[in-house]
Amino acid sequence: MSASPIAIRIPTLPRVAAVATLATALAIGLAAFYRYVDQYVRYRGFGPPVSLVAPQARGHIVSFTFASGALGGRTVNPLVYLPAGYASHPGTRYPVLYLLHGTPGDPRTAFVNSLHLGPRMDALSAGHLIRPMLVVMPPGSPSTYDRATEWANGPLAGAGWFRYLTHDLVRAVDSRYRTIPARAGRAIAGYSSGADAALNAILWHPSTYGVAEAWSGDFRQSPRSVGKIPALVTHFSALQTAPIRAAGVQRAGDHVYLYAGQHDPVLPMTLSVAGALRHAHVRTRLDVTGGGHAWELWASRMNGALRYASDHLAAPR
Amino acid sequence: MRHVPAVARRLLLVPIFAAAYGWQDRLHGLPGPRSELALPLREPSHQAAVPLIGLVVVWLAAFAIAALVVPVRVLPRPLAALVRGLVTFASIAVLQAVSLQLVRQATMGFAWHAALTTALPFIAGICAAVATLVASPPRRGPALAAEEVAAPSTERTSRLTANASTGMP
Repeated sequence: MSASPIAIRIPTLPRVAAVATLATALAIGLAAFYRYVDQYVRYRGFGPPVSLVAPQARGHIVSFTFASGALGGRTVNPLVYLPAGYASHPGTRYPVLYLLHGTPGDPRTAFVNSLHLGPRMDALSAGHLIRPMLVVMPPGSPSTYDRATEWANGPLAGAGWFRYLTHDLVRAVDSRYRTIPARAGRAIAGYSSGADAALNAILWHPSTYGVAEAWSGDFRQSPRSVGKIPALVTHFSALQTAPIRAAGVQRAGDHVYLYAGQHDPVLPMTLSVAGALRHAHVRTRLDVTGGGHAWELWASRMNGALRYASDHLAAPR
Repeated sequence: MRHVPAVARRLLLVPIFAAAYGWQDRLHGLPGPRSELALPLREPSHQAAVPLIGLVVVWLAAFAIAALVVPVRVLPRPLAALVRGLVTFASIAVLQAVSLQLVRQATMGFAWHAALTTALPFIAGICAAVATLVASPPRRGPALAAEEVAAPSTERTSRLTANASTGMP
């Protein structure tokens, strides 16, 4: 019997070594792949937040719970950045900045883990570039990837996300923390759909907030988030309401800051809204930046946005 | 590998290519000319770029292993290398574009432009073709199969002839 012409016998030991090496390389690669995906899920690719100021000069991020009537009694857990010295100055009241995440999103992933709010506030405060202030980061949906609410009131009972934001949350924060409970002591800002909500908040409640910042907003309400009800779509589309309601913002003496990247599809809407505000003589700052609708843009402009809010809010007293 | 079902062997490609992305991430700190946006899940631009030499090493190794796991069976090897290279190029380009669009929340136009103007899809496609040409086991063509079939038949004919001459059944 002739041997098969294609039979090749490889010595056992090198074959075992080769297989072991390949298996090890595969294991290392898979572990690295897991870490690569995990760091995106946790920190959006920015790495963990690290505060570089002395421990005694650092603020703290805490959470509190309250039940919102606008959400049908649902309990929510906003995060709050308390500045250094909050506990040691019990007689001091602080201004408040409300930060709104986009969709999908949640406050911890967006502002704490990705945009590194804590280290930024610590560094800016320690460098006397901003006034000490509270930063409140509420959730805008039942969970990170839940159906989008876009911070708008839906048609069903318990879907009053805008009222929760502008009424229930403000009252909860003012009752629990030493805030300046007035227009001059409140700012509201957000990115993407959070930007839409921030501008809606000041358009519909110009006497509640003194400052609004809209980072890469498109100012158009998605019909699906409000049950496709035309009246609600219009109500929460600042692109349509800004020309009408800007006069109220101007009378209140509020400040508005908008920016969008030049490669961002929302740029035309941002320009349109800025134009409507300026036409009504609202104190408006508009920046057109490089970049698109991206985390890298929001991260690069975060310090400037915090400083804008601080500069136009009342000082702690 | 021949005894592993074909479906299982193809499923093995998933962890192989996931590990390749993992190795890309491990090597992104190396010096040298870089391919931008090779790691779309890393937001800062300087962390999303990977050295070209790292890309070549990782993807050559990955496709060499893939060529052993799923060897060329039907097509001539050069044609198979071309097909695998083109399929790889298209797959990586789609993956990059979709990743950039979702992760960076960019427009599809921007995402596709970025995916098709970075080095990664081209390098991966070339590595797939080269690895298939070099590392794929020899194809078991008709001539070899016929020789294997012929060998046992020849042996049986010889045995029958021998039995007939001795009177054994």
